[in-house]
Amino acid sequence: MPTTLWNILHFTALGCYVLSLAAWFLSRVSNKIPGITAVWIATLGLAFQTAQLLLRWGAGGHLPVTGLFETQHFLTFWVVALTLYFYLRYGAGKLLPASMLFAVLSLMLAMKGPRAVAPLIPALDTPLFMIHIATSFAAYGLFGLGAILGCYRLAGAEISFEGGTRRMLDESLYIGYILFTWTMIAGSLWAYLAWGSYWTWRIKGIWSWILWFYYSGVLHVRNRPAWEGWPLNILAVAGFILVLFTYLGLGLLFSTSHPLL
Amino acid sequence: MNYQEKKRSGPAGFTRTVNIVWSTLTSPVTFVVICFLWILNLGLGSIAAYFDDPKFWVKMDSVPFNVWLREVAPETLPQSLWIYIMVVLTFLMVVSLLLCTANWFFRKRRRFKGIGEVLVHLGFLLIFAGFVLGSAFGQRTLVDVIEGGASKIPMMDLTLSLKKLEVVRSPDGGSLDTLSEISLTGDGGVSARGRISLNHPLISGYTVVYPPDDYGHFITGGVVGTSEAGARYMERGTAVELARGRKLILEGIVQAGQTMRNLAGPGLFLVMRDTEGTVVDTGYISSAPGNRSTISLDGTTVTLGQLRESTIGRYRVHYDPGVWLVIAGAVILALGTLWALAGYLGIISQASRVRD
Repeated sequence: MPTTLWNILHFTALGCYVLSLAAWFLSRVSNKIPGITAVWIATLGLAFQTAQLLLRWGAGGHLPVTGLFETQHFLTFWVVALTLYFYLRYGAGKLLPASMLFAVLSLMLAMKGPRAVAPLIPALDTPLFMIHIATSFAAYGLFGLGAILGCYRLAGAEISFEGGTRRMLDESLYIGYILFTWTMIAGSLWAYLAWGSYWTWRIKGIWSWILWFYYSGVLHVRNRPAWEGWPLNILAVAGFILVLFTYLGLGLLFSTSHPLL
Repeated sequence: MNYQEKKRSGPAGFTRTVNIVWSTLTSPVTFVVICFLWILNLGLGSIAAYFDDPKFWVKMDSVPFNVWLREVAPETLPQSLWIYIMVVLTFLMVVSLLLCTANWFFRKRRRFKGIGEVLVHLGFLLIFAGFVLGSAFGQRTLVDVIEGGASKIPMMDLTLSLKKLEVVRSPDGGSLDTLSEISLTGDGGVSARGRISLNHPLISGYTVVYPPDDYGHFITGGVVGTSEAGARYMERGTAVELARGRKLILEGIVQAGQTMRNLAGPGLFLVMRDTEGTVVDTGYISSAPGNRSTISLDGTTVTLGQLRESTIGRYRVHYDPGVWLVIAGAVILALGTLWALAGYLGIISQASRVRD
């Protein structure tokens, strides 16, 4: 399929998220624009992203999660989808502007990567790859939302019913950790079958373990009274900085087994 | 304090001290503190090692961890000090997890509550045990096998046979994958056979054979004609009996495109030995331009016929006695997360009902 199609879908989704962000701010200052408009525009953006995901999947014959363009789209997809889930479940409309800002920045970074659908190299052609990537980006998305929620809580903003923000943060960290555990299991099993070892001393693998242990630690302290307040918020934000370094920092700046460009 | 009071406070004090020590050792906070130190050490150490030598990890991966730790790391001290610290912290973390798990069984066990988390702990402990076992007693080696032939696997009492090696190519001719029909033979006969390709290795107990890292076509021998013995197919080391008890031996093969001193490949390096085994003459026959395909060795005319080319694959063979512990650990870990998730989702839905 032509790159033009990917450009159209990419820029339309990006435009939707910019508009959603603008609509949310306008709804704050003007009664003429209802707050729900921002949610609907974000949903439209997500629909365009879903269409792109499915079309690329069809064109390439594999889950489109290789390279910077596709992985940034996949991460954004999860962040927006989970934001809408939190909106529906917890009425967390105030989560929208931060998530939309994240989505806009993420899709702008995606433009640094090539947009053509690349054929899958044989080593990646396994269901384990799909499980490994799908769960990792869902986990990254949850950790990202955890960081956003951590920022809101640090600022003292309650964005849901009483206790709802704390519950959303807990859900982001707990389910994110479980999904990331599956990422590690699928990745290790795949590495064992493809390259001969479930564990390799490579910088990407090491930082993935750092991430796993970091969130293991966070989970152990999250319900302790001394940690439940600002320390947990700081941990959620710092955790996502680790995620960004493991995913983007290593992929873009280091020579790794998971290159992005 | 009278005797009776001392008697009462003695064991009570001891019990209290034991309780405090046990609580500290099994406390999640202890795990978190060790975890934090582990992350700090590994994070900074891994980045420093990368900038010091970008190939650091490749070198570390090329041998089992215990070998690297014993033989390579001491030579790179103090740069490798963080690895030793990591090993110590990892063991401390495992002890903390072990005690925490034991504590659950001894003190907190009630029905199925918390079993998901315990399974996650148990799974990780098994994975760690398997890793230690594999690092201590595992082997990794490379084996060259000719298509239609077999090779002994160094350090393992096994023979790897290659029946067929095919290259899977893309429409533009590039190599995508390989398909190898192989079998592993031990003292008790064939232990496993199958067709291997990327993501589909041959697994036989603790031993795994992976698709070839490298493969190619090599000259493995050729037909050599002599005025006394006629045409014979010779491979490296083959000896042909000639008159007066002499032997013509194929000593070496120069591959196409290779040169050895002034000899251009492809060609065969031949040696003539007398009855005593003493070398009486040597010569080189080749089909390369500028080289002779017929020579005279100790008065005998020797002519090069057809050279035979075979496919050779270089296979990676790994022996890891801890791998099944790791796999069992991974399964338990996965089950633990599923159990924990199910429990957690139950809590969420309950919370929602309360809200409604």
